[in-house]
Amino acid sequence: MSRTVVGIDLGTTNSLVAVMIDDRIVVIPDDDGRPLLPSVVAFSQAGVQVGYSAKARLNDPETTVVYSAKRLMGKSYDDVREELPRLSYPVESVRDLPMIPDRLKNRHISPPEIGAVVLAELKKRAEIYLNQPIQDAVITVPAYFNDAQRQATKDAGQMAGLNVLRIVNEPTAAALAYGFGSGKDGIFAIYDLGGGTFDFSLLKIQKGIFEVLATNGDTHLGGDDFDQAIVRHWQSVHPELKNSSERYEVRDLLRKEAEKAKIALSTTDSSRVTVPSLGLDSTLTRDILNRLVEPLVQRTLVPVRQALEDAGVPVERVDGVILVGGATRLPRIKEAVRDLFGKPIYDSVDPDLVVAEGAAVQGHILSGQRKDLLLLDVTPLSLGIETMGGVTSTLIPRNTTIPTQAKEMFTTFLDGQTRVDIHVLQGERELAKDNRSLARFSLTGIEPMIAGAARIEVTFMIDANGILDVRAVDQRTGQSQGVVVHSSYGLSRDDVRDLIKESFVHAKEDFETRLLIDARTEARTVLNATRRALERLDDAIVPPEERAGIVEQMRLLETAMEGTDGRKVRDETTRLDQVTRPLAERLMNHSVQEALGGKAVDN
Amino acid sequence: MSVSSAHTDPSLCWNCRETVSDADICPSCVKIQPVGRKADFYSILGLPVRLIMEPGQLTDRFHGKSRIFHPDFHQDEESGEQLISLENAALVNQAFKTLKDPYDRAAYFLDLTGPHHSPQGQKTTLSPILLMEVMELKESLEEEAGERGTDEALSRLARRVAEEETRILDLMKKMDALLEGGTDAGQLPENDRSALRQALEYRKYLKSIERDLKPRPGNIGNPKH
Repeated sequence: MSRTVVGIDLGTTNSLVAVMIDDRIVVIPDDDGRPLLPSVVAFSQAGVQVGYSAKARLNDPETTVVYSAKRLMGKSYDDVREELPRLSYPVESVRDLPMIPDRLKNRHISPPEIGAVVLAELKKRAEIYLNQPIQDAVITVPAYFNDAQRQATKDAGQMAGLNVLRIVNEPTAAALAYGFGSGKDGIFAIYDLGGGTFDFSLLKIQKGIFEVLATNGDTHLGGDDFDQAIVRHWQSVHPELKNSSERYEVRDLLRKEAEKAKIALSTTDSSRVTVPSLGLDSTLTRDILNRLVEPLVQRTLVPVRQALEDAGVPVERVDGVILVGGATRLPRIKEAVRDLFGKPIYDSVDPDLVVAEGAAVQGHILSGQRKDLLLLDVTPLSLGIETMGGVTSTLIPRNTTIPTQAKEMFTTFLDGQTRVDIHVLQGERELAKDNRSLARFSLTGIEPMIAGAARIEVTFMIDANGILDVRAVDQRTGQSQGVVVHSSYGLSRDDVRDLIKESFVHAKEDFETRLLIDARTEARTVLNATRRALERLDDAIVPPEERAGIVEQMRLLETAMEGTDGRKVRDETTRLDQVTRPLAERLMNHSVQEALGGKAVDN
Repeated sequence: MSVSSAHTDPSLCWNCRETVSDADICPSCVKIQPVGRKADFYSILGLPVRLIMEPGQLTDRFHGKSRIFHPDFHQDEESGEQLISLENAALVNQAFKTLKDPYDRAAYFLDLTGPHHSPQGQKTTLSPILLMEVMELKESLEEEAGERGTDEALSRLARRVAEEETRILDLMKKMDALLEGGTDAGQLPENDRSALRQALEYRKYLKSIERDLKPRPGNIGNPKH
């Protein structure tokens, strides 16, 4: 039985879920037929609301309405300090993390928990639509997301009761959605300008293999900045607006009007904006808009040029450009991209839906139903460790194809030293302090000996999700060495585990427990089927030797089921499947022969 | 390169214990086998140990091996096999990256086939004469860039790089011809090996001068802000 893997675009502004049904991509709508779910969560006496109903409460003083939580994911409080004035909800620093106080329940909510509410809603939507439970999902992130942001997204998925099979980069997902696998070989650029982030990727497609050559971006540049530019323009033209703009409601109103005008100008040449309550009556033309956004457009071209240089691909070799993200609807963006590349532009798939659609394709690949396509992505930022003098020593350079690993030998520098600390960083800067601290790892329990005698090989593995894992082996004994992780930002593994347990989204659904229950259920089904088959088949069909092998594996599975390790149960079930496969094939053949009246089947 | 599960005989399948020798997939139980047991990047991709390589062939091998090992295609397997898939894919990626660039490949070849084979690579130092030469070139280029703009200095440097690359390529061809003629990689003439090593190192210096002269395409996003 193949599983259903949904694709989810967890966006800054909107989120959505898609799935492959009979080789067709389906974006799953809500009850009212709307494909998008605003990434907004509201907390009030009435409980937790999500999506349009949460958005409707934006100006309700009794409700905490959280939006754009993606901007806070995997960041420290210091990282997001500049963003906070833009938000209408309070954010407080708890252990250096940005947390949203929930006054009603006297607690703090982390950004991944907000993401989890949105994800759980999409999960529910998919379950109703498909009329089956959904666990497996692919979730997309901006290509330029660092390790902590990816991990935070994965945490959010877990808290929503999802088994996150893969974190996929948004631009690469978009390329998958365009179905370029079939025959359209060449080098393609993906220009992805969303609400809050800009991503650019260069992709080589060859016989179904999508190989990312380079990626770059700006996690603080998006359509929202265009709106802000328009608001600032109004404020400069109407100085009286400046004073009233100190109030959040006014700022929010202006922002919405700016967004409306911007969207209108994608199809018309001028747009009149009137807000009587603020005395604003102004006409915005496309020319003025173009002038306002020009600095932002030029800013997007910096990562574009850097990626081209990193990939060693001259701009003329690019065969086409895929446009992704709502902000690419802006005519000036299309024009700038066309001017730079002079190649066909692909924008036929709705830029708001294309990422989720691509995630659904990747989900289909991961479910084992599709073997012709393969995505080979890269890590967007260099990974290094801090060495003497606070200098970064790069272990894995940016744009390295993932999964990838680097091995490094560590030793002690004091006699009797029993622990070595490793500071892991992500970024392109020379000095450790200028890069993002990912985590501090401690190699513990080193046997005391003279300085320099210890030889501990540490493997830094970046998996296909772009997430780091560190393993250490004592070279003298071949034993694995204890590694203690202190995440620099984001939640610790223990925090996540606790949150999953407490999660208001899935109060009773501890992920591990769920995995165990699911695994046991499946194991029981397989065991019963096998037992029934063995009972009715004689030695002619199942030779005693094969029967003994099957019985032994059944026993191993039953033992595993008595334990509490869901993964072990799943592994033993897979093994039982494997030992019975030859038999199943023979039976199939046998029944076909019977159906054909005992005649041998010619191939 | 270390073997991921070193305690067992690498010529036997980790799962069913049948002989696999250097196959990627066990002929008996169809499980993928750890490629970490193989000696080098060439054998991981199933390519002969040579200096010159046809890019199309290399890419085809890389894609072929990725289709066998990539974690995307092993999601339903048990955790042990998933780990092999992950490590294999990482090694295949590393192998492709190293062999793709002709100069990285040449340096890797020298380390691999040299008398003091070390996985970390040998430290090469440029001979004092070449070092002097490269320093003088750097100074004169910087002067030129200051007086007449970087474009001319860069194109003069580009010509020097091209000369050096031709020299490297010729050496690679010469050594490959010896290999084709049956010479063992470890028995290649030491003067050819050291000439290649020096040329590679010289080119590296030229490229770093180039990097310093070139105007940056803009700030690479500072991940902190």
